[in-house]
Amino acid sequence: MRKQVFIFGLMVNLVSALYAQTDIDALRYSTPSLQGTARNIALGNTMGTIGAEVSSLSTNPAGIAKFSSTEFSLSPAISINRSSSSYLDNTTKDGKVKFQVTNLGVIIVSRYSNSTSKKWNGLKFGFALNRLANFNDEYFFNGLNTKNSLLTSYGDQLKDRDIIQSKEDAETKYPFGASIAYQLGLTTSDSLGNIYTATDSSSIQQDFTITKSGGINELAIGVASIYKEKIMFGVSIGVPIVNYTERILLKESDSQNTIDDLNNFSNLNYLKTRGVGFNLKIGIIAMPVKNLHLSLAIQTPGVLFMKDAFLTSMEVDYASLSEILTGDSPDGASKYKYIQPWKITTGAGYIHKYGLVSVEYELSDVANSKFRLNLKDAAAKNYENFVNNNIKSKYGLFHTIKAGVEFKYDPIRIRGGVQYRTSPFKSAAAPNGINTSSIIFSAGFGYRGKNFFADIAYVQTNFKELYIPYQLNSEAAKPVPIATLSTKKPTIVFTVGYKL
Amino acid sequence: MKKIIVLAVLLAGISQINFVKAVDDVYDVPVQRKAKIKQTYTQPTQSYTTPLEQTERTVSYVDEGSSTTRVSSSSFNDNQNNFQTDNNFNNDDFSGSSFGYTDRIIRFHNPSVQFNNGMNNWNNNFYDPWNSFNNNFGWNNWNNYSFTPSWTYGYNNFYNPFCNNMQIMIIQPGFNSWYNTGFNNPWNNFSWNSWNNFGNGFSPYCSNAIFNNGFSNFSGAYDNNRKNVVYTPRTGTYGNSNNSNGNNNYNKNYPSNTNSSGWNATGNTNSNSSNNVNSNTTTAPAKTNKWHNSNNNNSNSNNGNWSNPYKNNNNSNTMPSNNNNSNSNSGNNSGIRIGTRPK
Repeated sequence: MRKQVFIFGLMVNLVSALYAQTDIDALRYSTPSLQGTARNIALGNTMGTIGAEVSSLSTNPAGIAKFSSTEFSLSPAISINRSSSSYLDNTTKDGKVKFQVTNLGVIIVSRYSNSTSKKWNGLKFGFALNRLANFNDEYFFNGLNTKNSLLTSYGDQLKDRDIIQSKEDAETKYPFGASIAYQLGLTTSDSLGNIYTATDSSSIQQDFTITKSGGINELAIGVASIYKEKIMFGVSIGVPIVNYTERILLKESDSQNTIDDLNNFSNLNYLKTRGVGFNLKIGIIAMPVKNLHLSLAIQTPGVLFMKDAFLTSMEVDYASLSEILTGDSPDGASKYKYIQPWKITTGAGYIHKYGLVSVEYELSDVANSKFRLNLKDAAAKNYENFVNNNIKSKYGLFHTIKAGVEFKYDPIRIRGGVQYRTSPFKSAAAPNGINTSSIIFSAGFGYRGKNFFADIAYVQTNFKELYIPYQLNSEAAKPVPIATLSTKKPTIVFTVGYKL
Repeated sequence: MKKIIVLAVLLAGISQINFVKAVDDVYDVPVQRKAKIKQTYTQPTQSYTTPLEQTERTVSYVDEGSSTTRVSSSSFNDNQNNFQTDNNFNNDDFSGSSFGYTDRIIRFHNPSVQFNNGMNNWNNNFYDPWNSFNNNFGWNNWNNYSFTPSWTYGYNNFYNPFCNNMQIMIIQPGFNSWYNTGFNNPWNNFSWNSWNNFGNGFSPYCSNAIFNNGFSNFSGAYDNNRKNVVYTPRTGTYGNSNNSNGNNNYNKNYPSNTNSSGWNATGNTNSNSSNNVNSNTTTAPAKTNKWHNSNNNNSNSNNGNWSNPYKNNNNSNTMPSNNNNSNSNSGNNSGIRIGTRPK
């Protein structure tokens, strides 16, 4: 019963793959979902329409116009990641616990009076650090692959005569993968240029460990006021701060003892992305009838200045050697700009003496996000166009419908909320087998005193990913096994605050 | 269920504490703040009471101007001292410096724009706008050896993974004109005109090297200031759709490996490369020693029947060299570092 009350939601997210970074990066950074205070989370992220909520600086900054006094709030949270991964008929579980802060906010009210003699009723300034995304995930899965190996994929790359035309080419031109394997003897060639791999036609035990961490925080600074007690206006500047780290470790072992000399090898792909940017949000909340709120907010396309650091590291254990051979790629680095898509949010809310209800609709176009590489040579431009075309062809309009309700019995508040997010994929590009739309339920309680207030919220996000470890061109070696990664990410958020 | 009841009772109990005034801006109509009352200070009325008794004192008169005792003015003397000190320009605060006052004025009040490239043979090459009329270039000592022809940096293979034994000249000035492209021109900023036009400017990588991370013909930019760093986007080769079967893969059209252009091709056609089938896997063989394999079965006969191509056709059956420590990645110009660690 309690699970039915508290555990909600299925968010089937996206599909990822080894090395599949760029257009998936776009998806990762273009569809954040504000978390903010416990009250906002519990109400399904709809407080931007109601107002008097510091989180609204990241959605509808007009909402801070409703504050009557200076206020501080802090929202620590605990997120418990529980993953279940299915790969080659094996199901494994993993998990991760992460502490974070979903909101830190200050509202400064210069003056507030109900005097009707003045058109503009005081200025309200707000500063908030809001959590927009939580990337913390951990997966472990394994299985016996009888069809192919990572080396099969590397071998395919080395067979490309457009790129690999000599032994030296094989040693150098894929320094983040195939060339390391070649130098370590995991792939080799004959004098004619035929490429062979150590795992050809062998069954190989594959063990994957994927660790993701980081998130997106947004520093929002805004100002708002009320005009004739009827319309709230607000504007804020958002400074999103991206922090994403990913480690994908694949260990392949000759568990069947069918491969000459090779005991096992491992391939670690490491990626660290850091970025900071800015965007502008303009919001309005109208109150045409007493207690009725109508809201509209626009977020401009934002610019994120991104920096990637990445490398590949391999280790090989040969039976004939007394030491482990290691091979490390050079340190990959990339600087680029990422253009976040615009976002429009509209909503309606009604406030009653016994509670409130609020609904919001949010529209964004993921296809409008794009990358701008800092490198200017023709090949970089070519790749930039390729990635951006990929984004346009895969992704489309992204709708989010949100609703929240709060019951008030002073000083207690009881809340519930729901968010429905459509698939960001275009139907033709959507992955088969999983639903990429999502629904998130949330609930919470609150206490309001004269100065002190406290809230607690529970939200559970469930999602599924398909993970394609590598891709092959050799038909004979297909198919590549696909891992299904199921994640339950319950999060408990606390908010404590004080009104002056 | 029991816990739900407990929870309900608890909530009901908490609700009884609503004697506390709840302040919630969501519901509350804004309350007029109490106007700050300006407290006016009222002067207390003081009653004046005439003192009952006054005491009269007599003070003797002293005429200061008639004093014959001169008191020396310390401030006057101080000024004298300061004046003398100021004239002594050899005795200044920079006594430990070799610069005298005049030198300091000249050097620091009329500075030239000065920069040099560390290791050149001329230690005092600087651009001096005040003397620029002396020559066409504004460099105080301008000749063929002022700049980096004397400062070529010998990149080893590890440091420059793109070309073997390449010498990179950081700045290659043209001797004929300031406006030679790719030339360190302070008016036009440093630039290189073309990645592939190495002769005229600074190209940090060899034009025929392709640094490929899965994207055909993508060239990375090598950072010569940080060892072994490659500026390149992460060119993921794999799409995120499982229904595309490679349709979203940029490299989906790998050429079929017919070996028509295989390296060291002898003219033989070999169509078996991509589908070699190892038939030796029905029973698990004993682990053979790859690295010390005598490789005596390598006939390169190209008959399409490699019994175990991985084992038998490895011509270069030698361990990769360890370049982690030597920093001389001989034979490895990719930036890949090969090493070992104990098992």
